[in-house]
Amino acid sequence: MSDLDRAIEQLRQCRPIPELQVREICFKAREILIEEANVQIVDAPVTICGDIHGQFHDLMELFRVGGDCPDTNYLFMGDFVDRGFYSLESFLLLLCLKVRYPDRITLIRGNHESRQITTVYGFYDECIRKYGSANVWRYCCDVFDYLALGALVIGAGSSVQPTRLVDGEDAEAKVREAEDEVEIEVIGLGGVVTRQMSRRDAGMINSTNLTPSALPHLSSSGPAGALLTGVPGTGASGNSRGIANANTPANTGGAVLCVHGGLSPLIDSVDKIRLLDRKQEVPHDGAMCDLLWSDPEEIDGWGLSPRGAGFLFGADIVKQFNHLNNLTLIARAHQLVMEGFKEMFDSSIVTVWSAPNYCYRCGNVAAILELGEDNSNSVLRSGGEEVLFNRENTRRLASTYMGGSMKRGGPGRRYRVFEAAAQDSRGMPSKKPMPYYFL
Amino acid sequence: MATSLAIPLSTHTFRQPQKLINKNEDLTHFLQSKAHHLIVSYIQHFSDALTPTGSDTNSTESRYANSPAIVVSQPVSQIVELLATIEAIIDEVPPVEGPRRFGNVAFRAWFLTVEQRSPELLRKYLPDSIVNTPAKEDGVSALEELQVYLLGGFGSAQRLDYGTGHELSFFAFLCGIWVLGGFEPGRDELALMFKAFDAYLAIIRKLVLTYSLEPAGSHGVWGLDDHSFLPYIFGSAQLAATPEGMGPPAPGSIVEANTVERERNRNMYFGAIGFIRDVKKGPFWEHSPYLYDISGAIGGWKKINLGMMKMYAAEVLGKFPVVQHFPFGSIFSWDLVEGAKLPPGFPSFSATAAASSSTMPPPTLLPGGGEEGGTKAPWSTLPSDPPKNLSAIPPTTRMRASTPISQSNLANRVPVSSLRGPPMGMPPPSRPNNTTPPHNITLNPETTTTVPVPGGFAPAIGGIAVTTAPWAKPPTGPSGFGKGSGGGEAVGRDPTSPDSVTGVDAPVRRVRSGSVTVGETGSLAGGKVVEYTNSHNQDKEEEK
Repeated sequence: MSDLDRAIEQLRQCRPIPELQVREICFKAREILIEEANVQIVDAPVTICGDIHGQFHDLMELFRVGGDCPDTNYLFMGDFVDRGFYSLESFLLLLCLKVRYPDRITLIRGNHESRQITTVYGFYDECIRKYGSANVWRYCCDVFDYLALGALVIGAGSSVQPTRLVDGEDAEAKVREAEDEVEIEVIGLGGVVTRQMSRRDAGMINSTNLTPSALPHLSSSGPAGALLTGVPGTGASGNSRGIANANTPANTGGAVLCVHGGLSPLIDSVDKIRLLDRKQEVPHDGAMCDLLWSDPEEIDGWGLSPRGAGFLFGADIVKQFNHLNNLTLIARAHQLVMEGFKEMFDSSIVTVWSAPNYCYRCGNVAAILELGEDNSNSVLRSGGEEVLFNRENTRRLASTYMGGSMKRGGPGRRYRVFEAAAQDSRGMPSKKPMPYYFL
Repeated sequence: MATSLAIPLSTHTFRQPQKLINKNEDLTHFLQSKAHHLIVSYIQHFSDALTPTGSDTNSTESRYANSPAIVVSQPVSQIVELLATIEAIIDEVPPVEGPRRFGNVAFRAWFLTVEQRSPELLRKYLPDSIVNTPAKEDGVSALEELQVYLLGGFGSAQRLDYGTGHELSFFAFLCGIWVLGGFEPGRDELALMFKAFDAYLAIIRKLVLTYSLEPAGSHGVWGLDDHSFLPYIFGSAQLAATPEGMGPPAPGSIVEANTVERERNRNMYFGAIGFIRDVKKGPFWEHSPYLYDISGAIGGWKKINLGMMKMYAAEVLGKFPVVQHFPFGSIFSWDLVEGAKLPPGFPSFSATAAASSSTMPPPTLLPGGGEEGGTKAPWSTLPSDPPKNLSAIPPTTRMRASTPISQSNLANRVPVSSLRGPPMGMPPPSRPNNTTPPHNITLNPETTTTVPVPGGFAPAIGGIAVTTAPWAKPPTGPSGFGKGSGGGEAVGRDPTSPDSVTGVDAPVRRVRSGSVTVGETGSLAGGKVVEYTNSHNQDKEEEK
């Protein structure tokens, strides 16, 4: 068993590892992260997770519900630290897993992965308390600077493999029509399928629907026609769906942009994110700041954020961005949602929140989002393989885009909802370090 | 002590309170202001009054909130009635049903109702001497000045949150009445705290539960309490004279459910602990490690009381994000105290010199002094002497607060990419400010605010413990204190403007064991953390 495996084992038991080992792992992690792009490309299948905030036992619950790493591919959208009691153990475990299985887990930066924010919201205090010095905090902050700003999930299927319903399951929960593919499946507490929605009635779930008229007409799409290859979401391909152009249907769920906060008025394309110099403390404003701080809101255009950093952005902004970048969905975290996830703006953006009973008191459930692999035979990967046409999907896309009610060709999404881990069997701390003011 | 701070009603000119803390230099000014002096004096005064005079059990029992010995005078019972009326409004405005992300928007309706009724309620319940004091030509009435502090005490309707800044505002409301002679020193202290202030805390707890108010700026488990602070000062004072300061109840008994249940209705400290136990699941030491650690204090309740005072001075009154909302008028005056000294740890500068000067205080005033204090980001175009009319400035230029990082060093840091070659063949990073915004940015508050809310507040981000930028100024006025002025201040921030820069100031920060040193790479990656509360004479400062 390697030192790294031992460290992982120890952290899984929620026991911090020695300072020197933290330093070593942080150094290795930086070497890996520096090679990653600002927008890391991630292949489906992948499980997307939101804020953790040092809720270690709930992170263990997440792995229990979603599958262990490396058996399941994970993408964490930041905010590993602050507020919770176990930011250190949570972040270091994720970081060790990243070093151990770099292709199986992707970590992107949240607004709390910052020196200034961690000194205000707890992670700094936690490191001082657990190590007696700020060294570990400093090692971790140096890693924060190298975390990717976002990720682009490609190759996701347009439907999820329906989970077999348990006997006696309510008929309503079944797929309405057998031939319909399941776009959204929600697996509630206890692993019970609570909802399955075919593409036809998807988009209604847990979301605020705006009229689709706000969506720009698709025929005004960008570089169409030419068979470009390149990284999806870039001008090189002109298409993030992994297909040749917007008129070419394929059975893919399209590309999904994952970012902690949201969009920025300074960023109109995924490529612009790639141009940022990310290896720095999160600035107080500008594009990098906005990506980590912004929130979607029921407004038109852009608005000021009450957070004092980032912006609020409305449905029109999301739809335009997704259209221009050929994205089918933006997945983000950053905001507590009582139900664990919330799709907004005709399912063009979803908030995923993975810290159940946040701060020990909010009473919310948490969720993770699973994007399945595209299991059709019509994939054009970025390598430029040939597109095979699929009649059924041609029909589907045509009806989707031309019909009065525009439904997006989003990826199949399975949300797994979970509760806070049991609170018992956690030992008492042996000593009470005295806060400064009370010495 | 307290009587010397009294304000003569007949000759006094009342003013509409205004927020004046807009940047870190202002915080330094505040710490030497008459308002700060008044607040600290009264917290000390009430804490002293609540401390039993003898060390026997009878003496401690005389300081139970439910002690029959407490005399409730007419002016205090009027305040209690005022609060009961405000509490009853909660029942008038039930929380809105249906899906919501977290905070309940019905709180805005409740707040608006209280705001609308408060002039009438103040006329009805405040002492006649204050009610009947008319406004001077160039001022406002006493009630109008006091009302700002009352309304500031019930959380932010915009952000749907509540925190220690709001608690401070309500305390200031009571103090204001006190200095105007509304209560009688020596008679009303206990009743005012145990009946009125405790009733206020009960309203707050009800508001938090009813409308799911988030803790403003919560530090999660790493803060003292999600919402409150003063009950810990006053509650520890109630027990501070017991033998050895160890109880009963002993400080360590905050983890015992039955002790908390027994004490919570007669001791403010246990009342606050009880509320935590009501709302939080999980082991106490885990969700409230700070309180847990304190419960082992050598020296017992007296030590805890002193520590709470110090901590309040540093973590509430000394924190820009908290006190930036506090408004200053004629009672809580922005004027400097003659010969005032900064709380220890803050670099000293002559208060009298600054007071005699009509300009802003010297630019480097912050802990650590030197380069960090008041240092602006190198790309900042913020004028060194910012105009007073801050609403004229884009909000980003007004974002000022503590940061542990020397931004100048950070920005001058050699980017890693240049050390290792440009990553992925990218062109050198360009400043995003130079790019043209791709989308039409709405700068007009009328169009950005599509959700009509009472008082014209901008649509709020609900959500418990939502992270706000520590350097942020709230985008609209009425969030924390004072009357809802309609969100008219919501000036858009234009990301293309060269003015969209942030003045970054040095940290205001506590460090327990030595300050953090510069990272070995010389990049200041560790941030420079400044120690400013490491003092030996803070108690004296507070006793003044």
